[in-house]
Amino acid sequence: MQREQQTISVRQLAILVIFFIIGDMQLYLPPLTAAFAKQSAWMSGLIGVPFGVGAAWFIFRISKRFPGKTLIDINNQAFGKIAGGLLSLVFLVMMFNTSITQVREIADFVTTQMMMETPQLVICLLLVLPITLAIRGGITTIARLGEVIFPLFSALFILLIILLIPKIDLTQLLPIEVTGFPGIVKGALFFIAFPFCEMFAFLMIFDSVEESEHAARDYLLAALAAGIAIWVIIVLCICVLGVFATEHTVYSPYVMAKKINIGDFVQRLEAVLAIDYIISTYFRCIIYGYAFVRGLQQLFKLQDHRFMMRPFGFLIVGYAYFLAPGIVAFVQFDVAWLFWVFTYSPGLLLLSYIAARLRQGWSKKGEG
Amino acid sequence: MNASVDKRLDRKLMSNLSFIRASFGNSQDLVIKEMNNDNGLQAALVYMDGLTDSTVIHHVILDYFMSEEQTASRKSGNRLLYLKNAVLAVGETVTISEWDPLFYQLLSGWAVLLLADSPDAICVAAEGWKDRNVSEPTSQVVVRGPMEAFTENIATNRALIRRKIKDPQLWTEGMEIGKITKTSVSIMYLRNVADEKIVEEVRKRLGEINIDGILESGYIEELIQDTALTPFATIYNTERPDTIAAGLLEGRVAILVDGTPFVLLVPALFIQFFQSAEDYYQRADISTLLRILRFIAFMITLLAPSLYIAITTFHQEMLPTSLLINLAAQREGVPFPAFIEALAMELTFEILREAGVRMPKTVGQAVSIVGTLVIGQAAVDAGIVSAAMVIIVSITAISSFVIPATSMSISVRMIRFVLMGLAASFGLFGILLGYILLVLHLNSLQSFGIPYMQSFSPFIWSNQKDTLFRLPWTKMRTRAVATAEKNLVRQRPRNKQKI
Repeated sequence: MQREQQTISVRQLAILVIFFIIGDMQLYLPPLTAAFAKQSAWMSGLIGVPFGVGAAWFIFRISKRFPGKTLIDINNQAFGKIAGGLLSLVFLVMMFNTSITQVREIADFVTTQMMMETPQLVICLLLVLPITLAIRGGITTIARLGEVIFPLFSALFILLIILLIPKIDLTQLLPIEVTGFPGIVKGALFFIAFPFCEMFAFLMIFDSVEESEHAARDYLLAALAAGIAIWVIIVLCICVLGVFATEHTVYSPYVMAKKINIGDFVQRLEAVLAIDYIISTYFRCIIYGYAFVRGLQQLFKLQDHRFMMRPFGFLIVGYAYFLAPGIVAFVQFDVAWLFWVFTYSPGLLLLSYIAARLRQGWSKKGEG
Repeated sequence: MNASVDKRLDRKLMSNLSFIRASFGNSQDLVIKEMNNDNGLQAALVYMDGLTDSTVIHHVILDYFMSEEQTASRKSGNRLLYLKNAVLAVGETVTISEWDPLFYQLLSGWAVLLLADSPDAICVAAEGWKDRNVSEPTSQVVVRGPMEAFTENIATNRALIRRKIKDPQLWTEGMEIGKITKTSVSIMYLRNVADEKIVEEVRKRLGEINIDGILESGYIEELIQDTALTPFATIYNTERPDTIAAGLLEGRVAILVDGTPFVLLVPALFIQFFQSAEDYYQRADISTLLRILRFIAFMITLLAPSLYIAITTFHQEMLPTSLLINLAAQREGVPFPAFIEALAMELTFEILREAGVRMPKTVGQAVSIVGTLVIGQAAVDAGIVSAAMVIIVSITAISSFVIPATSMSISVRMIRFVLMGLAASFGLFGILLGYILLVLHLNSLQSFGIPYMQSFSPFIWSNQKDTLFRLPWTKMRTRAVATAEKNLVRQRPRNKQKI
């Protein structure tokens, strides 16, 4: 970004990872996994966490193998300027699309659940300023924002879980196995793909992280913690709402939060969940947005990224509006989206990685 | 004053004197005392009435001049030098041969001695004017701690700091700022602790100031702050010498301005505005709790009205049913939406507060009586506002007084109205967006190159001992990393004494 190389600390990276993984998943994942795994969605989660952390580790590994290089550089190294550039462009399209999808998700959620009368366009417009300002400031700004908001976010998250404990009904988990192993694996695929595989956006950020011997440990711990957090949400959802409601409600955790009732005084805290959801989704959006803008800057060797923020801001509104005709259509994409994600990561990413490694090997041999 | 074509003093005494008279337009407070002694030495003493100490003028300068000069009648080589070094029994004297510095000294309260046949003048330190005594601080009050505040006199202020830090490493640099006012400004710092880069930056920014007058440290604050486009103060000001001394020990730089008891301290961090000097004098556990309380009060004063608006307008389900019915019953007769109600009440309170500050003390009681009627039972009885709203406005107002630094509570007042507007339009979603923008803005701020939110973002673990928490002094072994660059250790680990 401004080329006095902005850096972030490992702690900040860990916080961003947690925000990114929890992201919109705390609302979308429970219905998706429950749809395929039914009562066993919690087992999907159990399978998903290790594999997901593995996927996160793989992405981190790539950056370790090519220190100081971003996804764009790796692609260039793998396939040369033109083919690599085209591949980078494909990745950038994905980043752009996912970034703005988050805006649409927030807008859909707010207009269907919180404020029915407010037009969706207004919500998108409102989000433009915080998103463009954060991306304009670069990764340091995003990381610091995360650092300040994280205590609020985690406090609300933990509060929500604690308040839901009295409502847990473990018998909802019975019978243990309904769909069999295939169903569980299908559920797990969602658990791996959306939160973890999409982390390839971090390949645009890793080169800004300060050197630290704890980097790998903290990064993986953050991924693990966030994985467990969304797993807890899935388990809670099934235990509190039951499978049917979890599966057939678009925002089942939101419905779950409505069940909170402590002594008829602390009740209906769904707004707390909504705040948490908007915060983490917002972060997912700006991390993707940053990755996109930075990628664009690197790909076309631009001096500065700030001039892109105004068109990007316009695109947020326009593209979010254009993405889907409505929430019902939007939810239809889920399964397709799963395979789309797998195409990029591990698919294209692995291809690029292997090609770049081979090239690296050749050039080394050539020198020697 | 029109600078003469000739910037230097003339040899002729009479032409010098008439030039001074002409330059000052025969001002009444300009005193020119012409003298002849028996040796035939012609001289004139020029000073400003009221700015000088009459004891020095009469007993030291005039007496000595008249008597001593006679005994030393021998024609020594340089009469002026002899006068300056041997005759005048005062602390500080300077020889000046140009008009501009001479006028500056004259107007600073020095007496100027002009001799016949000499192109040089002797300036004698004789300042002395009516000063306010060192009194109790009025804006930053403590229960326990020093009860002295800075005064309007920069020399007194410097002395108040020096009395707390007796170390030659406490360096002071002086300068004059303001083309017309020529206000003296000093920067003070502990050379072995403060970051040289920050000191250099302070010097540079002060040097770049080009303005006709400086009347208060607020001028300097606005002229050297990092960015003007922010509601937050990025420079700390205080009238307490102990706060300044503590800041200097943390490696900060103090900027003293003549004519005001408010001394500036840079760099200033966000958290500093929530810390009171007393935190360090009370026990650590109490101070920690009080700091957390202040932070809660900050949140209340920032968010209470907007949360009330958001919850009553958009998220009624969050309220327990009985409370909701209660509120609805109260609001039944109120003709306004919650936002208008809140806006009116907040505005009323801001007016009352401003009136309370500006009003002559003798009519102060009137405001409190009228005020309790306006934001009180009368407003509720009249059916204009609901009782719950009165409570919200009151708790907001009281919480805003908890913040120790006025500059921060003023910022909060402004932001509160923005958040209220967002809450009225978009509920909790609006408040959340406002909060994110606020944090983004705070993160973008810097104070002399130091991030404003330092210790929180970037998070510095070792600084947490003295941010929201205050650990006991035995645990505070190092200075805050934010400001001090070198010499971080404050105290050596103590030997465990066995009793």
